[in-house]
Amino acid sequence: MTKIVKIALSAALMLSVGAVTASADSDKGLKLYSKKLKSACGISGAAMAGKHTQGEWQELNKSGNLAKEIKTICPKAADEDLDAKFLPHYFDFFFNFASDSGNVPSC
Amino acid sequence: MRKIVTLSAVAFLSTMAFADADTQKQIDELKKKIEQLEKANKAQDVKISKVNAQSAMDNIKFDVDFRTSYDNLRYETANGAHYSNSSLYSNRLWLGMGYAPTENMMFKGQLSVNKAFGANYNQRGAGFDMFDWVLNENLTDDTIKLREAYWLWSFDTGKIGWTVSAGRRPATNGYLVNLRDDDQAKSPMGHIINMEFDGASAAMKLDKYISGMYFKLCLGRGLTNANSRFDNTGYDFATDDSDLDNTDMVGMIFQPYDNGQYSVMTKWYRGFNVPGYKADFSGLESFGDMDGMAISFKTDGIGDGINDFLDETVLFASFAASTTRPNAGQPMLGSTDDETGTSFWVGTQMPNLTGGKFGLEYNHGSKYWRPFTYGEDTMIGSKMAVRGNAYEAYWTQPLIKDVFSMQIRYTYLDYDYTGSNAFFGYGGTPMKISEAATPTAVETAQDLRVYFRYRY
Repeated sequence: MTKIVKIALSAALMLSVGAVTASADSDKGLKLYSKKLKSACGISGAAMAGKHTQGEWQELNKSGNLAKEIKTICPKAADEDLDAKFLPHYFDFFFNFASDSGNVPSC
Repeated sequence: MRKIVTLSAVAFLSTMAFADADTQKQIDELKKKIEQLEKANKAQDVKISKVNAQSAMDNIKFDVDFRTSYDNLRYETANGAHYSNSSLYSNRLWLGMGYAPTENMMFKGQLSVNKAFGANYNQRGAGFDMFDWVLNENLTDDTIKLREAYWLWSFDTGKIGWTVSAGRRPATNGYLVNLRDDDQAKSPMGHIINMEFDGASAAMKLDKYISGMYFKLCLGRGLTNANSRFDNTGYDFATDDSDLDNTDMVGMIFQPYDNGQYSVMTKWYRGFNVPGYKADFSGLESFGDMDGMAISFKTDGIGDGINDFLDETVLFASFAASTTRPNAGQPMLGSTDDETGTSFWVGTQMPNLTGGKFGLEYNHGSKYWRPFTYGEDTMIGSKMAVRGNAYEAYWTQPLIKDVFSMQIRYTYLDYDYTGSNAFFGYGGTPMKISEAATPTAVETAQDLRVYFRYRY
């Protein structure tokens, strides 16, 4: 046990020094939504994503109006929760479960 | 000379004026055309969206989760003997499906294959390989089996949301154990329930009053004693009193709070007529009822906005207990008394420099600890069921977006007592490893796993 564990632990600890977000992630978007927006929006993540079609979310994201749209739907959302670093994850989640996506959220 | 220059300038300017007017006209026309095209484009987008929605409503949506794993297993017995497998390879396919024709009614399902590399002779399909509780978690053969299939109906009455569901419900990869499994948490609490079930559930959501609050009633049937088809008696599918009783389970999940960062989850259940080995190990019989409860806390992020590392760090702690309720004259876990076992579990998951996640977990179980975690995804046996200590470290790394990932995981189990992964009869009798009747009892077990996983 000892040798393998030591190698594995050292490698893992060396890597876990700081946080870097590699790429947008729908699961992470859902997690962030629950954590930062759900109470301000007052609706579930699936209901929020279902507010627009995939094309509409894409257009909002491309035109840089995603944060503005979230704020329109959820006026109580805090500005820091709409930070640029969260938006790609929100977008991935909203796009995945958009009203015309046909994807069924977990229950 | 000056006259000629003046005349030329006038001629040039008047030409420019005409040219400007012409260009402006062209620009206006182009603008109009662009507006028309934009309108047409928007109309097409709406049409495409309608077609997408129509297509989605008409078809079941599939998703694929395919994992190739390498496991290096090693066991050490009380008398110092070693058993190992340094090259266990396996493929696991989950073919998920979902269909929601209306907002309130959905169907979800999952087909599964979980198979070791290579053919085998009289090894797969023997013993409990094909037992229904763990059918899709064991390495079996290349046949496709049903892992989940259920309908879920949701509706609101005022501010209260309700769901009702029945079928082969998701009862594995539950709360907290999903972290190391790199899955979204399913219904049960991973500390005490992790196995497949046919059953039903009904939930009442109160999150309009208190963030995340809900109650969920769960019902399940673990064993049926219905006769088989074309039974010799002729009583096809009638209950058979000479066989094991029906094993049923009733449970209540209560989540008092979850704001996305801090969450508390509780569960209580009772399993009725749970099976176990007879004293002579000649077969199974029903021994009595089994109770269990757990309370788990999780913080998903430490503080708020201090830094990215703390924002993405998860900490959790969980406590659970199980109590036997033996029938008269039928000792459960080797005792005719009601015996209580306890377990605690702590863990963390941290982000790392490579955009992956690193996790550490530890759990300890007491002498009579007995959860229903037979389906846990650990080759060497459920770590949550350990009567002793379990240590685990893992590194999960996305390789190509959220589509392709890998994990390296090391699990070490150090048993204090025997019977950790057994059923509820004599097989589950806890004996100190050092005093075990059989010196071949497993004292420690370890598994080093590396997997690559495709999900889309």
